[in-house]
Amino acid sequence: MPKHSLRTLASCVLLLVLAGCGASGGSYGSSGSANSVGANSGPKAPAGQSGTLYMDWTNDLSHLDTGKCYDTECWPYMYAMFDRLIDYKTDSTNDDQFVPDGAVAMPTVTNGGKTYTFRLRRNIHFWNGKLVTSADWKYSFERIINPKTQAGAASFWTEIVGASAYASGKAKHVSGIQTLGKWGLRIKLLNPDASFLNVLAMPFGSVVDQAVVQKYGRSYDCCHVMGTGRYMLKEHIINQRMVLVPNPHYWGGKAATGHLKTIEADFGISEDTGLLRIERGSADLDGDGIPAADFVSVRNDPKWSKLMFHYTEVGTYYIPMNTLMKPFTNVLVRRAINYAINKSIIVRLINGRGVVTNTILPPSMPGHGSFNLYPYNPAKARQLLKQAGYPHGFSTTFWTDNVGDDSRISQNIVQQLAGIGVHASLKVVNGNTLTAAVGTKRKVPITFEAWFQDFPDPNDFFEPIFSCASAVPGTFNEPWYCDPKVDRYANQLKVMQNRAQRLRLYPRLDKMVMQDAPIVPLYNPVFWDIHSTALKGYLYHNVEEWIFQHMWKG
Amino acid sequence: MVRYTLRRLFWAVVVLFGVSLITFALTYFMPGDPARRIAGIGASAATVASIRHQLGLDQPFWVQYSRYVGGVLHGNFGYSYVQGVPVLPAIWSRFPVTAELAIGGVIVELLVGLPTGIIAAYRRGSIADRIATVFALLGLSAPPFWLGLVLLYYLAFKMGWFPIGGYGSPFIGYLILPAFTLGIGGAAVYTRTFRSTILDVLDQPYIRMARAKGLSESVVLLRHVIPNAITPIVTQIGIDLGYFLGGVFIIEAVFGLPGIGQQAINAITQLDIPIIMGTVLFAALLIVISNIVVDLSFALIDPRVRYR
Repeated sequence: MPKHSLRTLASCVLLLVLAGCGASGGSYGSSGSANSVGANSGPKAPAGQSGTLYMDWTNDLSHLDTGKCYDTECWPYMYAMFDRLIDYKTDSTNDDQFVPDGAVAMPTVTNGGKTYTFRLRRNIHFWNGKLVTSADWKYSFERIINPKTQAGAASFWTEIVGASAYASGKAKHVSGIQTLGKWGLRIKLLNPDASFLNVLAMPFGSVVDQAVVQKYGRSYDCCHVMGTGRYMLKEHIINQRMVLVPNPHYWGGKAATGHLKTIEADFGISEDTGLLRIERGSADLDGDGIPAADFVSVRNDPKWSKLMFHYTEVGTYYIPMNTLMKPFTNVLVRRAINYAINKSIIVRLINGRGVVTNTILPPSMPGHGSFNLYPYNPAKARQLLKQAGYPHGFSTTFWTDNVGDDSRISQNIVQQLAGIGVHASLKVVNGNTLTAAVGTKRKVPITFEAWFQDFPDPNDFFEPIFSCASAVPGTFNEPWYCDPKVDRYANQLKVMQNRAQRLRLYPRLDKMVMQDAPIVPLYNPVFWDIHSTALKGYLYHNVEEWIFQHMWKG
Repeated sequence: MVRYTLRRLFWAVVVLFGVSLITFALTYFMPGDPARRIAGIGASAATVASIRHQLGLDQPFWVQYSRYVGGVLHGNFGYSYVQGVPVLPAIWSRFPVTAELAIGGVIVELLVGLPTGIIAAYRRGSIADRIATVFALLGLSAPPFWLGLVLLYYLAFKMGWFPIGGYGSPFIGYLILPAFTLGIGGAAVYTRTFRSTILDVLDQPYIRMARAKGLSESVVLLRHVIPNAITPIVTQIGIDLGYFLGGVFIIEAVFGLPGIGQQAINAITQLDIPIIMGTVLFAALLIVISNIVVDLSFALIDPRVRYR
């Protein structure tokens, strides 16, 4: 998922260090210990449910419909209100193990990794009391593939047999999604896909009530969603407030619905006001993070620093170079740019809100391997440019947007490039314009971008950005990179069933791509958060974000 | 008078048509893809293209605009791209908050501006007059977002006298600071304007006559001075109210009020074109109506004014 959907988190990422943020987990308070349940312990969770968790947001959630929610603001609420066949274990920040959710157990995978068979739980009910059966799961998945739903993640589901025919209206159902009586479900893929379970664990894989969706039509999304999860939607006043309450009929039992009586999201509250509200006790969390101007004072405050959490996000900021536009068609030029950038300066520029990286995969992404093909060396950069036929450098246009720190960082990159004779004029455009421009062939020669995980599988970093299939108009493959040899290898890894072996081989793929140097990896951002003194049991997961059922008010 | 009114209404429709055309053109040509916004930034190009086609966003400008106008003439302002709710009810649901803020702002303007203007006029050249002048200068100079944040920080956060932004029940508590922030700038204008018109009226022969008849100064003020000096203030109230009712987005953003101003800003950042069109047309309608009402009210207040 590219950076613009994480604009909110990017604005959270604030000043001050943290080289100590390791891949194993987040850090809580100033001690740097790994975050897990009980990291903020002291008092034990109360028996029963009490208290209201107040969370502020600048904007209302874009969607409550699991078929449409595809940003980090609505994401945690989807996990709170809905069930999927499988879910992530959320005992700690970077826990990416799967656990069965709507399914009784993990699926049986057969047919060379192309067939997934699930046994379904028989005690899951929608909030309206209706029992969930295999027909509901089938409807929910077909709904994602149906173009009328306008599901942003529909492309993740096209590998299911019969999905294309269904999407184009040639079939009434998706033949590859089969119900096995009331309590069984089978999904057949065209090709093996090692990340398919991750796809099922996205909010798009949640079960919804067909009758309710059809009854409310357009207004289902904002106001009438029907889920099965730990929390139910009690109220949503658009752009004002949303209230969730524990689901008394949750299949996991009352204990699984946590210790909060109510979860309230208040909208229209700016970051600055949100921080005041947290400090005053009127709010417990702010989804937009800590304002940059206040970060240093908050971080240095002995009382508030203990209530801060940080972790290195599963994302990478980088400089993509368009491999279809001269002079970036020449690999020597691209390598020269890699050698030319002092990444530490950029991390200092953003006041330590990042960790320098030399790889595509972030440290906390499974399959990450450390290497550095292009240590900072401007002399080497100039030599490579000379070898490439640009002894006096060249001129180009560096595109960037006006979101957050992007233009500031881009200015610094342009200055560094000038040091090796590359004269880049900075072109600052609106975020949406940049997205459209990079998706246009031969329009943007070089720019500043970021990619964050959709789910913790390394293929999520390679297929959308570096595959030949992704090099089409509207793409996120900003370098327009396509190497058939790399593609073949990536596809081999994608379908490999032995996970341990697969993950051991991803560093090699990372290195293969980096030898072609279509991008300059810069840094992995660090996410900072703060909560009120009254909130206990704080837990943030790198996929599901805030884990409300672990929290309570003390 | 009837002909004048009809003429004004005709031109009001022309103005609204022009506003709709310009706004639609701006949203059409502005950078960004609403279909991408709806699909989510991670959606594939094919999904985005499908959504674009479903919404008719791949049609030429005139096709889209005429479809929009056709809908409006049938009372259909479309549906929010983001939340899927009908535009008119969505805007109308936020109107009460904006209306409360607008009325509160006007009340502050009057409660602060009018007495200050009277004191400044009656104590012309004195310390009180100078204080009123400085007040007017500060009120006009202080940016609303700065003043709002200062009030929020000291009175709400530090002192705890008011809620720290947001909106709830009872609404009075949530509106005092925003209304004061909104009204104080206008109060400065009212102070200066009212001082000036009172000074003009005080020089009139009928005021000397009233005093010569032995009327008390308070009676002179209430029965003769204020009614004759108030006309420009009435004009200003009408204009202010029309402007405020369209949504004062800075105040609403600072204080987290879910009014029309915030809605318009959210719609712009989210490329929610139906809501953008709806809020702009709504604001334009209110301003046009308020101007017509103000103009017509001249004839009611001042019998010397006649329209043809």
